[in-house]
Amino acid sequence: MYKISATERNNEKSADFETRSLFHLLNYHADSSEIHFFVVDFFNDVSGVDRYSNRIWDIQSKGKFVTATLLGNCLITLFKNYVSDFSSNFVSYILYVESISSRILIDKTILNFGIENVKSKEIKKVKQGLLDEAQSRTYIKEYGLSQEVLENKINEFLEIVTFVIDSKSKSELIKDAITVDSSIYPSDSYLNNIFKQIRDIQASKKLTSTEGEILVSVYDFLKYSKYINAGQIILLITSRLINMDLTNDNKVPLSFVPYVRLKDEKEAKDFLEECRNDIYRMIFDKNNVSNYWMFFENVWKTVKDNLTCDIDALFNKLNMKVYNLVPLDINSIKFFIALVKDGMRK
Amino acid sequence: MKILNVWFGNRDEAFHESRFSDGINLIYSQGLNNRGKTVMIQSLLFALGSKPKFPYGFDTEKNNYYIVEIEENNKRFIICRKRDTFIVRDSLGNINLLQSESEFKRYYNESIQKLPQINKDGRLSTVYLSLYNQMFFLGQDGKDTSTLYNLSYYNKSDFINMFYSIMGYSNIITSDEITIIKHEIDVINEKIETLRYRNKVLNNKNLAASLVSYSANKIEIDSKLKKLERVKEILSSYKKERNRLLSRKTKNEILLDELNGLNRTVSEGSLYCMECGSKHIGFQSSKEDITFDVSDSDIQMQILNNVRNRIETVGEEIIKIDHEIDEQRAILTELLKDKHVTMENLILSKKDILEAKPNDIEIQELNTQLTNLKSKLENSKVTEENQQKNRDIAMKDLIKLMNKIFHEINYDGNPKDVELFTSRGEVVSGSESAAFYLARFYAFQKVTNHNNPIIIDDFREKELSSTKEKMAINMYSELSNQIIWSCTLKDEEIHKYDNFEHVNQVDYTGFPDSHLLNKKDVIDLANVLNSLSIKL
Repeated sequence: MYKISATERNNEKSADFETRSLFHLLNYHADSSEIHFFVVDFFNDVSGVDRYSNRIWDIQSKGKFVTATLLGNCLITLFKNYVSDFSSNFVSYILYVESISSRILIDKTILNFGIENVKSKEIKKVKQGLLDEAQSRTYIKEYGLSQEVLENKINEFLEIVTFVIDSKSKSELIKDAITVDSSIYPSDSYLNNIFKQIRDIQASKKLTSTEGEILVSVYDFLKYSKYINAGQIILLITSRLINMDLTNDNKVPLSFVPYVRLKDEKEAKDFLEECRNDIYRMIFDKNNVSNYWMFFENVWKTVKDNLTCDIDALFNKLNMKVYNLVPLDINSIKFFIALVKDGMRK
Repeated sequence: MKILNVWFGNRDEAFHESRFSDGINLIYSQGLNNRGKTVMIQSLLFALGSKPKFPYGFDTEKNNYYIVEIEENNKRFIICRKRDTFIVRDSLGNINLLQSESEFKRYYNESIQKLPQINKDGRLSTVYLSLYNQMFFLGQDGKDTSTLYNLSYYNKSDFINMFYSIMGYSNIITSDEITIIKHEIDVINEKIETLRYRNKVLNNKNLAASLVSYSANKIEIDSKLKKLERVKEILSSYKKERNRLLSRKTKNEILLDELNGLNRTVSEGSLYCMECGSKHIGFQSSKEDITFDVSDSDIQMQILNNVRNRIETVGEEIIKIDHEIDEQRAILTELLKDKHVTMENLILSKKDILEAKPNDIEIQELNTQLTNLKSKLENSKVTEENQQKNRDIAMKDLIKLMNKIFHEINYDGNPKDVELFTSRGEVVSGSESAAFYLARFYAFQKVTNHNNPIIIDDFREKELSSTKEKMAINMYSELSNQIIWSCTLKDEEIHKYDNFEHVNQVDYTGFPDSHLLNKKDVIDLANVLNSLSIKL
């Protein structure tokens, strides 16, 4: 049994940090390829869950500068999960912070470390900070642990917790999430905007209150729409970057050149413009949203799995049912395939 | 901006020039002319968007590719031009297709370097490269110091306005422009007059009366008609192009409306809770339920801008074609002034020569234009005096420096000061005009601080003495701009540049007479075209 507690709503900076911590799991964690769901404001600010919902990567974010005692305080929600009935499911406990007082650290240069990088006299303060916090929280008290057991648990817990110091810009976080050709990177301000879009989606997940609900198994989280699929985030960013690249109105996607060569000069421009216009229409159509995503996913996956194929071969591999759902013709579909293929050229 | 490479030619023969250096490049041939210096320089400028002026008989079929590789702001671009189509490869390897000079100038402005804007045809528009390049380029036969080189669309005051714009004082209407507007009003009035006359003639039922005069002068009229026919052909090809552009414009205008329409979510009522009236209603789907928007406002804005841009570009193209059409019409009018070729005769011999139908709509259109111009004239009378002062000061500085340099180089000549353009009819000798341009280009660079290469074909105008030449080279070697000058050396001048520091000598003496293109360079051409995804 797992009782949901300590969910929260927060300000813009903390929201930013929760999204940063999500990107930490998505981009940089050793197990990032195994993380399938991001559960928001549930077990913790953000928790990665694997495809079969057996394993949970737990992350707590703090957009603050922390000292030893505060560091201990911040660990409370991670610790809560450590002592919960689901503790065997949690494979990783991460505290993601803006910065840690360098006075308490042994090596000040590393950004990802365990408790062993904290000076031993400071570790005491960390423990005390966590102990004080644990003794004041009802959701820990409910377990009825004796002082001695609690201290032992804290000692064990600190051995496995990881500290990560935030060091990337928002635009780097977005770029690192996906594999595209650097030539299609848009401006930093646009990358920041994409970050914001993801942050807003994440924040909107917090609107549903789940405080006090009781779960029997980890996968019960699926009953609540408080998760985002890792694949969806990657798809969103890729699609945004490719569509932004499309807006270079005069650019001819290199892989599409063979289809233009056949035409005479004056016609070429009109032909390209027609293709582009169809796609413009598609991405303006707010009433055809899910079809677009199905189509985009199909094209993207097909291109990704067949990087050496030419446009015709890729077209033949597409799912006909899916491209029938979007307002494109064979030329504009091929144009779009070329756009995606070139965008992923690397 | 630096020129790195120039290629031109076709699948049979080509030429590749790669000998440019960053500093002063002197392209010369020893004793002999017709070694291809002009062809190379014209090719280079043609690729950069200038109006071409190739030696007679060169590339008459217009089948050559003209390619230049430039470096601007540490980024390399390869620009390829064939007729009016440009293909540009940017530093990231992206290929951009630009179908007209208008599209090219927009791309250039956005991606290569900022272009100045001037008031032209009643609106503020980015200058075409054909004008922009004039500030640093002069062709071989362009030593007339009273006009611009090889341009018809632009005039002197456009060049002066471009200078003001570069200095940051654009966007006001000067007295020159008022004169232009007045002139345009006159032209339109005249056109209306002509059209009214034509309508009158065409409505005249007694055409038969003219038959007599037609038969009497048949031979003369027919030869005239042949000329007319040619003008008509040109006119009709322009008109065809104009129609194509118009339809492209309309298509994009429709697209714009359509996109704005699509962007509205269908909103037919909304859900609310029957019990409490709240609109905050959750819907729990069994599937993963996030759907992101297809695009965001940044992308949509960009797309709408693109479509608006296309409409504007095409609009500009249409204005340019209208200008060409006007020119051809002027030729037509001239031909029609012949007393034997009366309107009636023409109609008799060739009814469709002027698509001769009474045309009231055109008169209406002209009247609208007239009203617009008149109101513009009214507005323009309210000018900002400060801006005008700034312009005057900038121009004074430019002229002052130009004269200083001019007299330094032309030390033994007339001590009279010169203007940015000399007045028409003023006789300027060869060496004086060479000194004039050397002074003007130098002063223009110093005052505007532009970084473009300074390119002069036949910079000595065959008469500039070695002393003056040396003075000019020393002066220009202080500029950080790339210099590309050409000249023909007399036999006794052999090795004359060997003692010059900083001078990169590019020798054209060994090339065959009037045939620079060769088989060997076709491979180079094919390679560079390949990098632009063009198969030779």
